[in-house]
Amino acid sequence: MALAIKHLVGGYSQIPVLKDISFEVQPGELVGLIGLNGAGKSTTINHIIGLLTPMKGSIELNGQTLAANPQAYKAQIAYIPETPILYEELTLKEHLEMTMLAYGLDQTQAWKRAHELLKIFRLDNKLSWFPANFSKGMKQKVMIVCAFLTNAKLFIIDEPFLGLDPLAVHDLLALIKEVKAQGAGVLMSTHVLDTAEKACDRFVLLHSGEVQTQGTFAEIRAAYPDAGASLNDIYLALTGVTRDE
Amino acid sequence: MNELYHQRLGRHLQRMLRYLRLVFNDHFVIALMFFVGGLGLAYSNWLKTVGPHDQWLLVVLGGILLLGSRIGRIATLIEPADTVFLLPRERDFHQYLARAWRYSWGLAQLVQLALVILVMPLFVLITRASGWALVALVGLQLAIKDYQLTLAMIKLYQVDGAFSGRYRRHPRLAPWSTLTSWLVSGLLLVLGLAVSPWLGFAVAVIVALVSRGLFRRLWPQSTVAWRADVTLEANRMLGIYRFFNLFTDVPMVQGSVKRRRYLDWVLRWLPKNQQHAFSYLFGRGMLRGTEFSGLVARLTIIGAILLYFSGHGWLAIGLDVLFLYLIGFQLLPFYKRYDNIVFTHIYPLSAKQRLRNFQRLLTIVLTTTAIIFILAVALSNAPLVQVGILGVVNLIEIYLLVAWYAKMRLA
Repeated sequence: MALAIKHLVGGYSQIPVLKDISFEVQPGELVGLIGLNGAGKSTTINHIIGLLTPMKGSIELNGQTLAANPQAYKAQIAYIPETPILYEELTLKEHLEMTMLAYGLDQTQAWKRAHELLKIFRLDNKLSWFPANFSKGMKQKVMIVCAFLTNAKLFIIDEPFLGLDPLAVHDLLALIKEVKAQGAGVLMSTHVLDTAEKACDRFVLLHSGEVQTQGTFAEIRAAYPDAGASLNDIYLALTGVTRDE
Repeated sequence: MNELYHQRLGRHLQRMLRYLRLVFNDHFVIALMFFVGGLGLAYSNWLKTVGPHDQWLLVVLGGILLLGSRIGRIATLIEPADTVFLLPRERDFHQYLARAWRYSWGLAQLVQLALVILVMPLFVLITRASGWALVALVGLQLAIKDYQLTLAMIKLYQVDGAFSGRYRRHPRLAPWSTLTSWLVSGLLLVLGLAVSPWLGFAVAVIVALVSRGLFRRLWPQSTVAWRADVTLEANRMLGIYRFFNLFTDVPMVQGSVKRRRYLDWVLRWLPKNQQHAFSYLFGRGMLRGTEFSGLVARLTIIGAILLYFSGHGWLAIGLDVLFLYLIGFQLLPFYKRYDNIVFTHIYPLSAKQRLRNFQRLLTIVLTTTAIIFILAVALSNAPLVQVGILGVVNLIEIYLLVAWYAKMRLA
């Protein structure tokens, strides 16, 4: 398995946001992390990338844990944040170079890959610009290029579809397919359910810090036969049930 | 309105106090005592060489007093939202501004008093003036400041629009223009220093009273210059924060980023591999961010100039040690510059490596400064032994700062 989360309890302060969460991401699989605002998606991601330490439970990535071998663990992860975060003082070219240095990538090979990616996202003529002055969508593309530059085993993508133009969404999904074929796992949180329904292999539905349901779309539909035909309907029905309580 | 200014002043002072406490930390107080002591010693030694034959120094003295009279502005504490929320109470706002004026007046005059007392020995030595003339000199400077603050008050109102009838064609000649204020202040000082302190004092008091009268006549007929006042206050606060920012982190001051392509050759010297990934980032951040590079540049230039003129004794060594320390410890916050960027934490790089890379940057910056300092001393015809001693002292200090102090504070 690529990523295995077992009985994770965690959060920002003493009061846990996540209450006993368990799920896995297999190699070559795109898992959609779905839930309302405040359901615990970002908290889960922050735990995986190591910004938060679990109170209970474990997070393993191909047998490595953050506590035992932080560098080996971190080297396997590539992360695309929801809001683009950039170094103000670095140009686009230097952002890529910084990523290459940080992950210890081979420069010539990595640059070949970088030029492909830049071309896809039409950034190849902006190498000497400061991306801090780009528009939101373009900044997000920089994040995507940096992430897909690495040879990560697990890609964590936080809400990628807002702010990207349709062409870029299409290209991103193609890239995800590509790394999946190479054996990487992808965990993606999103609110755009139509796209998720088509693209994701499995879903983890979080609700108030707990895994409400998980499985392939077919499995979830079979489990809730009355809820509806699309992921959207099922999602609304499931969250609606708890709203009535 | 009185209540409002009172409230804001309280909050303002509290904030200033908090920063002052950060600025005057233990280390800095020791360094400062050393610095002031050294300067005082140099000043008093220099005074011994001054006599009545140095009449030209009177011009310097006048210059100092004239420039010094610009210190101290009106702390209106106006906030941008006031333009919306206080607009309906425009008339009452005069009370508020009057309070602001009263507070600023006291503070500014204290500074002026200190300034005059500081330069008084020089005045005595040149002119052989006696007791009462000195009192007149103090009075002259205070009256000039009073006059300038009244003009500043006038400018808080939209006088240019309302009364420009007479001055429309030559707005720079209006009684409240900056040019007029410089000219009148300068003339008063010339009168006081070159002719007679008493005469200068008397005329200055008349000028101050006339300008007060002008203000009393003008303000009821004009409106508050809201937008200009907000900008003025913002600039004033920015100046204060810039000063504090020399010593601690002030969130209100955010340096901008400049590309500085002409410095790229420096970066080519940095090694490019995984062990130095943070060096790659730190190096570029240092050169292109204006905040820390400006700090280093300013202190290096000031330090080099002071060292050039500080003679070849203990004072030079003391200044050198002090300035290296000032630069060194003020660079430490740069280590945390990228802490709020998530990638800094999720790169597969250890915190130990980040610290090592930072120490390397610190070494490079401080060594560059040290070389400039040593050059400054060498250029002032210091004996070679002195230059050598300075070199050794700098080496030891840089080692202590980087290997011990930085590690203790950051690790």
